[in-house]
Amino acid sequence: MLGSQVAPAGAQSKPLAFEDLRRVVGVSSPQISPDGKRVVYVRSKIDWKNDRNDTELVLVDTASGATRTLTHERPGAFAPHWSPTGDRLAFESSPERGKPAQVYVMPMSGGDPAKVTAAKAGVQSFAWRPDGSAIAYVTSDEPVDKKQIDEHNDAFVVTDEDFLAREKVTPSHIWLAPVDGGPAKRITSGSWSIPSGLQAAGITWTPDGSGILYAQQPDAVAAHFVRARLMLHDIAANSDRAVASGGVGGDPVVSHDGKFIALSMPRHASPYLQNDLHVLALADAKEAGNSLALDRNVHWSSFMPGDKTLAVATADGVRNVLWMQPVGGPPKKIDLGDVDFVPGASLADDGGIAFVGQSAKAPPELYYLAPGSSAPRKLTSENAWIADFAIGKTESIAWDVSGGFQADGVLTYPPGFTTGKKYPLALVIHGGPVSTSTQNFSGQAQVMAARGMVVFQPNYRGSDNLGDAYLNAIVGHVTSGPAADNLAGLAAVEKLGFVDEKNIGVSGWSGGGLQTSWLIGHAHVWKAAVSGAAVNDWIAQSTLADINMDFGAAFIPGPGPYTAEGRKAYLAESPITFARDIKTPTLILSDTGDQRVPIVQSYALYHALKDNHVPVRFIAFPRAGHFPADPVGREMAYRAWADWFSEYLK
Amino acid sequence: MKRPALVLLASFVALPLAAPAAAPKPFELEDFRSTVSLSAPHIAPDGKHVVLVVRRANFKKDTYANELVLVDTRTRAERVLTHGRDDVGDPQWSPSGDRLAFTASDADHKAAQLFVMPMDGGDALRLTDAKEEVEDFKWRPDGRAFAFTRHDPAKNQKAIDAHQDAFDVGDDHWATRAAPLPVHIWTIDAQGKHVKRITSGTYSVHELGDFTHDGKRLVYTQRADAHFGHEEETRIGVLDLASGRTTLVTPLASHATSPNISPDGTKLAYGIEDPKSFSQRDLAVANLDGSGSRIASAKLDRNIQSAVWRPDGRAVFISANDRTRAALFLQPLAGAVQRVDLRDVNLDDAVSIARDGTMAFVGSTPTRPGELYLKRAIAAAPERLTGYNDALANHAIGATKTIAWTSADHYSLDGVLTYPIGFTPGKKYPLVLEIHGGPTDTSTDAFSDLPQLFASHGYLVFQPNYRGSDNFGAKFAQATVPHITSAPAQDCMDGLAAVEKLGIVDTNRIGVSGWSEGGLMTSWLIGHWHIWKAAVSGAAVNDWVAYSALTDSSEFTPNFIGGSPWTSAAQMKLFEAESPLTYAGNVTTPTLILSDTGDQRVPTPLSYAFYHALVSKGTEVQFVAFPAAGHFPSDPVKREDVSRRWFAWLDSHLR
Repeated sequence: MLGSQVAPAGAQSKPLAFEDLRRVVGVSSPQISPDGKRVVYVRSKIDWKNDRNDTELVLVDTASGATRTLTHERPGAFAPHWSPTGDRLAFESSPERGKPAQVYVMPMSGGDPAKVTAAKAGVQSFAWRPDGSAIAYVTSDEPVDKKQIDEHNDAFVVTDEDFLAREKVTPSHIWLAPVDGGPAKRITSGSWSIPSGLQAAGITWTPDGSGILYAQQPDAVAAHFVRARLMLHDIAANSDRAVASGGVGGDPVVSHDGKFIALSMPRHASPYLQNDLHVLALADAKEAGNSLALDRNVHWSSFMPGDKTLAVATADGVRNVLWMQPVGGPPKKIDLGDVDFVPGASLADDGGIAFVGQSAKAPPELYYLAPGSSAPRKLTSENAWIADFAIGKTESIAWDVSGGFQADGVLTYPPGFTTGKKYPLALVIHGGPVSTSTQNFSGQAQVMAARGMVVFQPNYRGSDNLGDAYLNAIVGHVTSGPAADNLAGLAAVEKLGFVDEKNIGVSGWSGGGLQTSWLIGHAHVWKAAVSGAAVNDWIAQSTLADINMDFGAAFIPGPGPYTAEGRKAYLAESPITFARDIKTPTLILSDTGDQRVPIVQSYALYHALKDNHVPVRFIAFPRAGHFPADPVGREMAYRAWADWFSEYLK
Repeated sequence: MKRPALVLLASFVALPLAAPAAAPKPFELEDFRSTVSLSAPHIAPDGKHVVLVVRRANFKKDTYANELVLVDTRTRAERVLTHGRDDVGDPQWSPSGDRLAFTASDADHKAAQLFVMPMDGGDALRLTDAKEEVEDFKWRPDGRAFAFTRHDPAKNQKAIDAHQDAFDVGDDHWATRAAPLPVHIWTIDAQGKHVKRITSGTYSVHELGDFTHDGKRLVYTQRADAHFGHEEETRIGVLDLASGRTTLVTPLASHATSPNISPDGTKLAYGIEDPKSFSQRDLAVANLDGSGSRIASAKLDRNIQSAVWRPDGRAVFISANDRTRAALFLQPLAGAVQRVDLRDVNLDDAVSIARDGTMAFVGSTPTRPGELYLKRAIAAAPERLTGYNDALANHAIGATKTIAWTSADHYSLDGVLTYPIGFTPGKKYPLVLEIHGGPTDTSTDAFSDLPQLFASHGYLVFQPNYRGSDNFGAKFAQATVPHITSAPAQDCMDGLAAVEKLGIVDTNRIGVSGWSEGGLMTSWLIGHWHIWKAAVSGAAVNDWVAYSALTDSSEFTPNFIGGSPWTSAAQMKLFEAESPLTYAGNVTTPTLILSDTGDQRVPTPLSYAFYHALVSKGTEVQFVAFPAAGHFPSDPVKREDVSRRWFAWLDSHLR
């Protein structure tokens, strides 16, 4: 078994380093034309000097694979949408760099794109009216107290905002803009809001153009997306009715005949846990078929032509996969070989599917799955450069954990791995926790492997790759449950015989940082740790994050943290409670403006380690967000992480 | 417990005088917009003029505008010296009095630079030219050059410009976005030529003291690095300007501050305090090399705010809070300390002394905000030279009285009670507690906006000084350790009882409020007593554990609760036991929570926690955040909005 992992590197193959990853080309937002003949996608390249990702729209011929760049010198062109007949292409772009994005419509018979919106706050999402004459879009309102704010009187009332809030977020509403010019018209209004920001949801027209489906939360506070209902706005009557409630998520999906909607709905009252695919009749919200047949957390879905089957994306084991789910029948997994299916695919009228796929060996490319075919065809070669590099082999591994589950994970071996030798091991634990490490291309794991470490990415209870029972087993044991799974995973890896047991590092970001901070306080097998954006304190997390009280409550049920009993339960699952026991040299990483896992929890861990004389370094990245989004920031984070292990795991 | 009763009698006698029947107008909040703030008075060496900074608010632009004003000490004539320099500050006369140096920004420099203005006519000359601002400066005794300080540029500025701006976090506050940079000493001549860096290194210069008479050496304070958490670890250095070498003359363990060289050039006066606890700053006097150090203010036993040598070099004027006054003392190097009679004036700032001993200072009385005063001799009454705040002084002013009481553990305490306009003995009035922050601070009887606003609307206002305040000596200041919250809170309750004994409080209508440490007291008091009709908890230290991790003084804080909370279960327990958040489940009082969004001193997350705790309990609560950096809004619009919301919340619940 071990012998099969030896993947001798080609003589000219170079080891992969972080600076090489600056060449990775991003491929995203595939949109196939209605006739299935062309695909538009967003190509993203790193502008290292200016520390940004430059995007452009690219057109591919599905038959020949010939590509043509459609946009030039447009800051951040994204979100392409074919017009209903395929004669025009709408997309978003900023009129000038740094300005809010607007919708442009490009004639596909030649001619400059025309800007069709002038939303002061920018366009969050948009959808073509089925007759192709107008675009409905979502933008946020001006503050009601704008005059006062302009006079510097800008204090605001805080409710469930995150700890970095500096203003009241205003509600987002639907507007309608004619594509041939003319002023936009407001469609909805009120103190309620369409989810915006990090949980933003799109809007969907009914096929006859009579209505718009959208999600509605009771106010604009980001955390309240969990209370979203699916609404239908009737254009003619200017009225709204609720279709479904209870924390519906994702963009609403409607069948071609307009009779059904597909949507993901929480199985356990919280959208933070498993969300199942439901097909409901639009008229009366009656369930059609057996919605729970596919027991996976749904990432994306779309009706196939004929409306009898849905294409569905989920994680499954150590893969992101595509299913065909007949309404009322058993799901069938499509065999895509070693290609990981990235959610957010696009369907042509004939059922052809354009999607972004990733193998374990190369960064993403655009793929096309012809109607009826199960062999995807690669349409692009954006990342062919990777062939010059030695890529470490990946392999899945499974092990038994409590509760009768079998957990799994991904191992990445150093190129030139030699059986019989011992290697340092680096655990890189995913966040979420509702997420999955799969056998797709991981630049971070590959660079660490190139530096001579074996990288182990465990999935654990709470991961969304094995179904609801496994995912939900995290509830009530949000930290300790997964930690036991991860330690069992480590034992399984050690049994393979190649682990230098004196040189094991543990690391992760977000939920993976939580695991790291916990594991170093509970086991003393680690040579070094990297705890990134860690949830070190569930009370602080539930108080200060953008997803606050409801997020904590989903995983730690019972009375909240501000009761004696609840406080005990929250502290029992918080790494900071056990920080006194930590002995492992630890690197702490965090963005200064992380609203998801507030940096204040990293400060607490830092002081706890420092006051107990444990070697600790705390590096902060001065930027907003849960992980640096800019290429320089991203590389700095991954480099600091790998360097810490390179220094300690020898 | 008889003493409060005596005070009560005295106040009844005094009150009718303070509320004449001619009925001047009571205050509305907007009246305070006309407040003129005076600061940094500097008397010319010959005593003929005083220069000072005069500040006014511009509500439309939401800014303050400063100007330097020259006041003739004989005729009281005022002349504005600067125009369009809205951030002008730190005026310093040249040693001969022929020029005036100050800091200000200009069209080409957003950060304040050093200027010299000839006092016989002519434009001010800008001496420095840098992106960094001039933090501190001192004239060389010959008047031909300056020492000044500014921040170093970042060592990795090139990398930062290339977006590689990650930084190592040390003992910094939660909102830090870049590594703190050290401050260093430079010299420049009075024509703006020959700028020269004198010190460099990872240590950071804290404040400049004086040149030696020959101009060859300079005393200053430094700390080991630039992290603000180490601010309590300053030492005095004597810098040899020729070699750039510093000799540290005080030990690390004595947090030494504000060194001043005596007029005869032989002695050093400076403040020292024990960085291991909340304590007071004492005055130390030593030889220039640090030898022979002794505490000169032991008998005074008060927290030194400023110390200024008397021109003969045999005594030091000390400003310090004492009971309910900001007072001035004269401490001879040999002999007993005496309190300088300032009548009813509270000292706002350090005094400035001319060669002949004439003193200038800014002070406030119970009925008038800060004005410039002159004291021509130690026995002379202070003369008020300015009338910038006549408009405010002409309003109806609530009378103030000192209330005194004794704690069960035998500490003497006091506080200031402000009476409502038109107070009528025999009637009962609603009461607002306004608790000061710090805790190293004191509520004095000086004119104060918010108490006067409440007084204008029929409220009694009580501002208790609790243990930890700096008006009763070192033992009192340190009596908070380790019961940093519970012990002072009990003092506030004892003070309230003393006020209630006056028989004038409507005990069904009592509100409690405060900012910072006063917010801490408020959050604690509403969790432990249920006598409050409403509360305003501003920038409150609701959680000592989180505070210790997140505040800019993170290294200092654990010391006054006996050590880090993360090193033992017992310490963690003690921190939690002294945190209001632990008792938030008991709160039933309708509470307004206020905080700046970027408060580095008392981190905003502490207010989020208290808010969620009250929401989860179902208690009436509103949390208003002010989008601003700092521990309290620094712009006029938001400052007024704090008062507006504070007043409205209590008034709507107590009315």
